Formats: sequence, C-alpha cells, structure tokens
Amino acid sequence: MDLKLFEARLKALGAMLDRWPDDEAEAALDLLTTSQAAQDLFARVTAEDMGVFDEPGGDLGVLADRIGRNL
Amino acid sequence: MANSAMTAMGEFGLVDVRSDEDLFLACRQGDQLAFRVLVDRHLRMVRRLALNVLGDVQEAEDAAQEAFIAAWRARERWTPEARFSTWLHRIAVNKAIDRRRVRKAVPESQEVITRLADAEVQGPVQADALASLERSEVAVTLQQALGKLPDTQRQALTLFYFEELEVGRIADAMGCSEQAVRSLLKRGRQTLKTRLQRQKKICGYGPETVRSAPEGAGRHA
Repeated sequence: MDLKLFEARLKALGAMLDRWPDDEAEAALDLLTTSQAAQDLFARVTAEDMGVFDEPGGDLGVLADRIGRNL
Repeated sequence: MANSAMTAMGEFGLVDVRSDEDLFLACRQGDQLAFRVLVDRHLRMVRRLALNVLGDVQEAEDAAQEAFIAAWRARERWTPEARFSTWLHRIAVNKAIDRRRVRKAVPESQEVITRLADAEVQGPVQADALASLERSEVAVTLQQALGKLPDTQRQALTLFYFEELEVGRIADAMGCSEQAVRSLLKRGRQTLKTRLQRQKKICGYGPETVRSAPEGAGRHA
C-alpha cells in the first residue's frame, strides 16, 4: 500500500483499523511502520474522527495519574 | 477534536499559556508539572490514536502510557524544530503497532521459546497432544511474562525475536548503544526463561520431571 491508497482508504473507511478488511489493515500497518508521512496523515484523520465517533469512555484522569507515577 | 481553547485549558482544567514546545523544553529541566500539562492536552488524542490501531481500550491506554513515558525519557533528544504534537503522535502510533504485533505473534511463541530455551530444558519427544497443550500454556505464560517485563526489555525482545531486527537496528530504534541492547536482551531472556521454567515445574513437565523419570519413559509416564 502506498500513501495515496492509504489516504483514499482513510477517507473511505476512517482511521479505526479494525473496521478495515484484514489484509488492507495489515498493509496499512506496514506503511505506518515505515512512513512518517503516513503516521502524520493517520494522526490528522484521527483528530478529525474524534469529532465523529463516540469516545470509548474510561477515566482519563486516572490514566494521566498513572503516567505521572511512572515517569 | 482539540481546538485552541482546549489546548490552552487542557483536558483536566490545567491552565498554562505556554506552547507545547516551551513546556517540553521546561521538561528538560525535570519539570514534571510542565509534562503533566502536556499529558493533559494530548492524552485523549494519543489514546484515540492507539485505539485506532489496537481496537481495544485497555491496550490503547497501556500504549498511550508507554508513548508518554517514552516521550519523557527522550526529552533530551527532542529538538524544537519538530512540533511536539507531531513527534508525540508518531511515538504513539509506533507503540500501538508494537503492541499489536506482539499480540499477533504470541500464537507463534513456541518458536521463540525454542530459541530461548537452552539444552537443559529440552526433554524427550512427547506426544502431539501433550505438546499442543504445552504450547498453549507456554504461549499464555510468555504473554504474561512479556507484559511484566520493563518496557525497554520487552521492546528489545519484541524487535529482536518477533520483528527479527538486527541488534544495530534495534539500537537505532531505541536510541541506545548496541551493548545496551545486548544487555537488555540478556536480562529479558533470563527473566523469561526463569518464569517459563517455573511454570513448567508447576505443570509437572519441567526439566526436573524429565530428569527423575525412568530411562526411556515419557515426561508424564
């Protein structure tokens, strides 16, 4: 998968890779492993998706405290 | 989606007018409060990034934690030319991918165990059914043992055994020396081996069982 196809899939399927066909998700992961441009695009679409999809829940304050304790 | 007001205020109400980059520069002086503000601003996005890769909230939160801790530890190497958020997001994606690949590789873990185990652990050939049972139990134990290792040891082992990277490339990826990678691999292997041997003893098919069995008998004869 190249960056152009990745962008097309992101626009079509969104950034949640478990909603993608398995083979395309794996190809996307391979691209994300090697391409910072793909990572940046993924982050941009994720930010856009955050206004669309429900939040998963959970207490982010607890997680933030956990991070602070482990520094 | 975060807007400028959210960025200034943060997720949990921490107010700091400094930019991400200025805050992270303050972190170099050991300012953990400045880093807490950065966590405050970016945690939701980082968790979402990891969730998009992993599809599991708990794992995503673990990956997010790893990403922030990695950022904190790498603060000396970060340069202000790179936007902090872009850099952090890349770390988060990589941490999530690492976790996803470890999860996927666990069913293949018998191969790893074989490479980890020394000749002392090898025993007589056993029946297929028993071998299958042992593989599944060992895979679970390996997953648990990997999860309990320090982050650096787990990352080194994962890159070496599952991603099959050479030590030099692992050193580059982790930002440390080859000697440090070898040390991490050695300590990680030893810890895993100890835990797996302990598990074998508990299950009754470990090396001690083999040694005490009558000559020619199977492990569970």
